[in-house]
Amino acid sequence: MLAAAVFALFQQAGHLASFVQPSGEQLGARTFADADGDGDVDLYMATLHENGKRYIDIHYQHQGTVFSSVADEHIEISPAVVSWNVADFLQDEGEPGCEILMLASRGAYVRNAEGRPQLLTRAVMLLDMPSSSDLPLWNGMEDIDNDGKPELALVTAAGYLIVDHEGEQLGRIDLKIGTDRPPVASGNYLGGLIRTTISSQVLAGLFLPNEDLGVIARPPALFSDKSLPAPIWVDANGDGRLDLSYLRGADLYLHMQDEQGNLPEEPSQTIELPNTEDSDFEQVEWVDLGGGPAADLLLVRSSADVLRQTRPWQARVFLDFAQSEDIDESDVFLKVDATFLWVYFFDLDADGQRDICLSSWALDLGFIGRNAPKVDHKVSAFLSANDTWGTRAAFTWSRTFQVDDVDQLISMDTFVDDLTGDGQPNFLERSKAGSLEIRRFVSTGHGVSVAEDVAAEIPVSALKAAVEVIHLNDDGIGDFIVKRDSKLEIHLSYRR
Amino acid sequence: MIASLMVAACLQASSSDPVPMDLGVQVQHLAVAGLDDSRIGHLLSIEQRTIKLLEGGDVPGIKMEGSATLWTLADLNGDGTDEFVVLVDGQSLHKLQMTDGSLSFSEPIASGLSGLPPRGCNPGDFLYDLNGDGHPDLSLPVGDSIHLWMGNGEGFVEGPNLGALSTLDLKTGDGLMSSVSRRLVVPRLNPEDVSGDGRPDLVVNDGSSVRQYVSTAGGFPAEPTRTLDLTRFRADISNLKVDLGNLTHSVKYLVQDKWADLDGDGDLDVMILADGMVRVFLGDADGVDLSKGKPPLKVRGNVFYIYAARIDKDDIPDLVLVRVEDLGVGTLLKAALFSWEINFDFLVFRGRGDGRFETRVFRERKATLQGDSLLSVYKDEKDQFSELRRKIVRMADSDGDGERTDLVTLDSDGTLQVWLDLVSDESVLHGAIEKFLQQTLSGDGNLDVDISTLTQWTLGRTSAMTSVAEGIKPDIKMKLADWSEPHAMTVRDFDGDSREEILALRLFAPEEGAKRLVGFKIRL
Repeated sequence: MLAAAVFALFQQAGHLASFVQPSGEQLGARTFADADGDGDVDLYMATLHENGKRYIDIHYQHQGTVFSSVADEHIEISPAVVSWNVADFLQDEGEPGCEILMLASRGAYVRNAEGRPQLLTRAVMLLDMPSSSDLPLWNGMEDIDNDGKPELALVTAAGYLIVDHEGEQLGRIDLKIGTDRPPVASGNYLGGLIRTTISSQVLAGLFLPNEDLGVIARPPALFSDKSLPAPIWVDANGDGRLDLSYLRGADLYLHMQDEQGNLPEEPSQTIELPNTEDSDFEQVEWVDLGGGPAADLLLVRSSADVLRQTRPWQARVFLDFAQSEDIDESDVFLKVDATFLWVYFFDLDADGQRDICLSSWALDLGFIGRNAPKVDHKVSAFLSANDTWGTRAAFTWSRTFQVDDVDQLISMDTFVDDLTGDGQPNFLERSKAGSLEIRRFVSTGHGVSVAEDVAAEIPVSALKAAVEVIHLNDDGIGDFIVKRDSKLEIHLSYRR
Repeated sequence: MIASLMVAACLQASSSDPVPMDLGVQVQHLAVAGLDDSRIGHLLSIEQRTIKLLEGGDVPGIKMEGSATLWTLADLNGDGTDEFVVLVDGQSLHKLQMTDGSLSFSEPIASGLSGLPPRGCNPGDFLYDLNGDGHPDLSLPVGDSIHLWMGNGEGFVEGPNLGALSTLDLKTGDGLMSSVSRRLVVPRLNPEDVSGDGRPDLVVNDGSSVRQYVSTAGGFPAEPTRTLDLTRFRADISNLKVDLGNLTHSVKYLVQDKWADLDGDGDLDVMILADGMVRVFLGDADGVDLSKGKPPLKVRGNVFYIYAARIDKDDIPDLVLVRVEDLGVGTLLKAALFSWEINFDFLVFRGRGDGRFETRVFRERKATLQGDSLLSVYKDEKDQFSELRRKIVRMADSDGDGERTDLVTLDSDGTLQVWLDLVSDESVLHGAIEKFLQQTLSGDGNLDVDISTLTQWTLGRTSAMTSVAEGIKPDIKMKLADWSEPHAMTVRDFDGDSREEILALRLFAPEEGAKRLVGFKIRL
């Protein structure tokens, strides 16, 4: 029944591969939840079939070791459904396992055990049109009050509507909908990889009909664009309940959940993030780094000057952000000169507090571009000590790649959860042979560094692949997913 | 009230001098529509859902109903004047009319349509003649699909469902920097006579297939007359390798189709560039037939552009190919940041007149484009693009013969120029490209093409149209007083004499008081 193979010999842990065969074209939306009520999370995956219909396939997980290679359930989704997710909505009604949440243009529905849509709540949604070739996953769903049941932040044509698992309203936040004018011209190159647009003038749409000849092609017959910032759940004030946040421009809005589980219509707090005209926000994320129970905020900015091989980046972390009285001073402030930077937080030295991990890429074209181009991947970490973080890197590790030699495009994180079974995070790097090397972090007496030995390798022989480390079974060891071309592999961990 | 009177006075003026106008307000949209049996165009303002008659004195405004409403202008009765038409909830079409001194909507002129337009109240271009019978047809958005309803002067009859042609982008947001958004772009359909019978046909390309709806006396067929599966020509993607040392190699995986009458029989044939080959398939009365293929022409190198143009002396279209040297990501990165030099080859293969091309190159010319940092060039070009978006180009019918043959341009400094009877129709755009290629490929030696020329050639429908007027003295040239941008211009018959007038408006922001629209009306 299952196509499985023992894979990657780690010292304390192994991983067993399940080769999932999608029943149609993968639509890129997938999630894991317990479908059959056996305690394991199962794979839910949106697919598009040649008959033009969209389906959600469910592949069961079996005893925490493998997933079914072919779908155990193959659920046709109504053409009216715009987006979806999965949670246990009907536990009070005694239905085992999770149910599929389906959002349509005028309401949210839950698919019950008989396969029928059960109305959760009526609302005029911002996403008002279903796509015939897409079925995105709806985010904005969390258990915000720790009752074990999901709550939803729905994005409607008027703002946000917060409802509980039975559809009861917990809050309503009215917001001005963002709109955009049709561009003067837009181009789509290399299959959508590169998109360019030239924006239009303020009065471009004053006269109707639009008699413009267009630049590349005639103006569209109809253009309609509506948007709102994504609602993000976070415990901003550290009271154990999740609050609602969203970012508009440089302003971060917070609506704090009260003891009754309701959210206020007006923001409880509005905080302007440090911002300058000559820099761009690159990473704005709620994180858990230290301080009290309130969420911390990571803010990464880069210089807007793109006419350089590398440019200055700044990474700041504000502990207990919403409770800070002064955000001019951050608790962490790091500067890096790079082409690209990504920031992670892991406890590398096992002291119980997360450390700051940087992964930066620097393009080197040599003197005025006369040498062969190369990219330096530099990895470093700044260790914690009582809610302060050193400004000197505990280690720096780097690898140089000749750009012309790159023959695979792999999307992955550099710092990942434990894959080797020792409870410590691991380091993931592309090898020059085309696979992924997994390394440990080792103690050096007064810090940590990257182990010289490769603990294990993940062969990724594909033109384009994405590797994601995630916990799918309950052994505490990280599992990983490899998506290569149209195939999906799930590697579940086991202890030796 | 004062503004309304000023508008009314201006619209009735007949002087050829610019007549100042002051709308007194800034509005979201303006439209010129007939509201009664006269052919007079009334200036309407549209703000959200409310329509107001600008020259209507105290006539109360009217609200458009529905939760998903589209509105447009279309000449429903063929009298030369557009009516204001509203599509309510994708179900029924209504016409705006003036009865007993007040605005109202007509009884449905079509109903039971089952469309699914975007929510809100949006302007669109969904009523225009597709089959050439003079009656507007309805391109009904149903999600990301388009369903046609054919107008016959008395109503609408169901036509073909063209399938998913619109671009619908849905974002569900997954972080503080992301958004939840829906963007719908419905393309305008451009009928052309594929079969050579004089009737417009529809050719719709969704990227993987080309569906041909060849019209007959009975109209468009419900199903495509023929479908070209473009994926069968694409190079085997499983052999695709990431080669950052030669990115341009990947152009062989693209599929490009160009339509032209290659054998002179009156119907359109197709040239398909894919997998290092140019294939030709001939058309007949039912459109292009993939069983009527000609021996493919194998092309070497990174060919990324094909075009059919008359380059030699005869009247038979020749094949023009443009190929680019091997370019690696390193070269491109250097080009982006430092300086660059990229070599192109233009190759011409003479057409034989039967759909085939000679296999020997008739003419070959090299072009070397070079310059400083591409990113800085891009910044400079952005200024050109900015200029492009600030310049307004319109076609006009100043003599009232029903054909828009005059070219009107308005620059951001208020320079208005009019060339009367300059262009016959939009086919001049094809002519402009052909003219560019003829000029470019004549003579010997390497080509002298700069990045600006190439950009305008590849991107410039508007610039192609204006290039027709290059070197020709405009018939009318004037400078509109105190002009600035943002600005807008329309060409419409305001007074019902069949001759169109120009209405140019700009946004005026006084030091005190609200912004308002001011400008001029100019009779040609």
